[in-house]
Amino acid sequence: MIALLKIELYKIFKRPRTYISFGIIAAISFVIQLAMVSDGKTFVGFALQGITDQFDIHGTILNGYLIAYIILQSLLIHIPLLVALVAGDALAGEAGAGTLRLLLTKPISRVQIVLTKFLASFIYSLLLIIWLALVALALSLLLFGKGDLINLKSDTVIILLSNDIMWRYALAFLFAALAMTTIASLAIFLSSFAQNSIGPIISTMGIVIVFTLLSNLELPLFNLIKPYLFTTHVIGWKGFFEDPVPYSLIAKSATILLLYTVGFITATLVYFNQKDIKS
Amino acid sequence: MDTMLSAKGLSKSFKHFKALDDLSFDINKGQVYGFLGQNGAGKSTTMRLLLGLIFPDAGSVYISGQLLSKNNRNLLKNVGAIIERPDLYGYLSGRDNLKIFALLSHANLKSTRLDEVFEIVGLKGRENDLVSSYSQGMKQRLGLAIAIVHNPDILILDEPTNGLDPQGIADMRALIRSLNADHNKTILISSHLIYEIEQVASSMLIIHKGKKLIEGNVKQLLNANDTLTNFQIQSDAHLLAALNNSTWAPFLQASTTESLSFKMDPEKIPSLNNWLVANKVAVKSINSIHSLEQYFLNITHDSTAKN
Amino acid sequence: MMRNIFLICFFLLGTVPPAFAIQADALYDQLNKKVLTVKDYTAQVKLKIDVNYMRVPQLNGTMFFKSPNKMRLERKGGLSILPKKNINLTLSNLIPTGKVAVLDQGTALYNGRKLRVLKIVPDDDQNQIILTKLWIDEDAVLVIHLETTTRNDGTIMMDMEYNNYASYALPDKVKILLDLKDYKLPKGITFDYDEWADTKTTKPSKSQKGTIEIFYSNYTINKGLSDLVFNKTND
Repeated sequence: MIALLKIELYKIFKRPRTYISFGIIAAISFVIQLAMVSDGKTFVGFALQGITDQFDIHGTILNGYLIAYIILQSLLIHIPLLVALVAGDALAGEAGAGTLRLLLTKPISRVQIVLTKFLASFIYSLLLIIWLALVALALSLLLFGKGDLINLKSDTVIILLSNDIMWRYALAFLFAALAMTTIASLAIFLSSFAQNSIGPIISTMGIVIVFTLLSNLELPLFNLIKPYLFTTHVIGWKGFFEDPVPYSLIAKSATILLLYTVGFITATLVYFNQKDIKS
Repeated sequence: MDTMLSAKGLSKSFKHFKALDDLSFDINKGQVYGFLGQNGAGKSTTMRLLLGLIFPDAGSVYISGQLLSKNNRNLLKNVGAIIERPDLYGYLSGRDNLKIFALLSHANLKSTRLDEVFEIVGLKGRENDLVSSYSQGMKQRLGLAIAIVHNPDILILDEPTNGLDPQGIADMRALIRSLNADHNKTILISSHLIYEIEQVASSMLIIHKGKKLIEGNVKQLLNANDTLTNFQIQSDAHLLAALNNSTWAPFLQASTTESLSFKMDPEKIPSLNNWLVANKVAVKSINSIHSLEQYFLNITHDSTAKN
Repeated sequence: MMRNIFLICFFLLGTVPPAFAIQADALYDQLNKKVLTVKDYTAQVKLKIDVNYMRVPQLNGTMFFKSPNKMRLERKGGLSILPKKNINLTLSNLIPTGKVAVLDQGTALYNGRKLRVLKIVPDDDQNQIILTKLWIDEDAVLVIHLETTTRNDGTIMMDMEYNNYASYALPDKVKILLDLKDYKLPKGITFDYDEWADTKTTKPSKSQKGTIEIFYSNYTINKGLSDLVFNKTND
């Protein structure tokens, strides 16, 4: 299976479209960093209005940690799309191109194929997150330096000291990798039904967007289902920037994401294993 | 004789359309087996069933005597296949494509083997170009390369000359003959063209609307004795009585006052012609066709007429 | 001894005769004199913020002060959070300058301590400070509690505790008492994580009061501080 995995990764990284994802992450980061360089103070002033009415806050508010946090917020919408771009293509793209047909005439089981594509998508997601860490965090620190981090929640303001932040980012990125793996597994599941990768990519994004809305709207009807939606838990990485860190909540979220991932992949295996390949 | 590839009672429906109905055949070691049928007859469906791409509603497939199942796909190590047109990774080179599929087939990956295969299929010099730049014929050749790179004993080739120019077609047929004659490969080749099967196959099966119609040795099925000779004539009713009392009676297949059909060795045509002239029958024209070809053409005609 | 007699007379008379008004002035003068001996200081500070909607760890830094009204809290790039007031939170600033009227409010119990209460009203109508009320430990001549009503920034309330630097009227601990307004941001912007769980780390509190405690230590007093120290911008 290692040979299979190497082949999958080779195919993924030989395609120019894969590098678009890394380019987009860099672009988003640069745009935000540029915006902060030119107009960061206004942004900060606006964001802190609720507090600066009553308090004077001095110090390096606009520092690398804060800017990285702002960039990370884009994890909510942008990176799931970039993950779906590759994972959604995993089976559907090959079906559409006709290469799936040839692949399945080889002495490899369909289970191996699905698991390999999942692992390859996981590695790709991990690399995306590592790249994000480099351009969002490392570069922001280089440009803006360290400082204390202000985390604004809807009803709380949290200040984290500069020497107490790096480990939070490390764990947050790890959690983000898990969250993106869940998205990848959803995309692969949808990919198993289609003959063309556009469908699974758009469907994955549609589901993420709609579920994210459900996860965040304050309606009693939605409150019942929120704890069960994976999008509610995808933002679990934010828990590491709270004080105190709600470890048991984060652990619950991680478990739910793992369950979703296993569920999606199992469903893919069950369906794909009995599917007639007519493409 | 070792049975290398076997289909037992294969049936397959897609929604309400019955694509295959109780199809069975055996292919022995060293055979080149022709699979003849018009488009939509069930050839590709059969090929896909043989390779586990689709699953039968009933029946089984055996490779080298062992049942092919989801858990037993290792049997495909000894099979090479082209199904419909070979679709490949356009963003990779020919060499990369071959390497990938060779790896997946557990083949020997030495570059010498890859070079050898490129030479065999006539792609030497183009192996490092992206497949997106290949013509259809070149892709077909690469598809064949992928099918043979791991030196399988069994080849399943679905219309392998599709998209090839006349030289390519000739080369492909020569290669198939060579793989069989020199390397004892067992080959299943499908086509909708009878002369294609004639050129390479030793045994054959005709499939129509998902059912087996005829199966047997190609030479026997295309036996000279089964040649149909048709005489366009001008005659009267007395001729039929005379014919039925003559030695030509056993060969007569059909007769009217304007045409006579005989199933016999073409060597007999001059004698028959002399007999007809002696019996004051005006012969306007004579033509001969293989009865199998006629049979196949009839099927095609029937189908076209119905459509 | 003499002071005790004064106190007894004060209780016996129960009014504020001119003699006590002078005494109030005298107390005020003594206090002022003490406060004004400090021309500048540097101190290590620890800030503890107790606001229901804030989670802030202890902030360590250095406080600089130069008479009459220069003050800066430095945290070497880190954040400092102080109540929004245009007046520096030093005693010298919370006691009005210039001509004042000192009104004796008698004594009062504050946190179990009997303290002398003085009301200081500036003569100047335009003074930033409208009035300051001081709860003073008469024996030590130290302000224990103050409430300063300002023109633009509402009322500032502070508690002070003294120890090693009492002679300079420099506190070891200052507690600023706050009246809080609600803090709220739309959830659609913040995408809070813990909304899905029943137990939230922040429970909305009905308390509208908060405190900022500043712990002072290692004062370096009257060593001379350049004005440049106060020109650094921390943002």
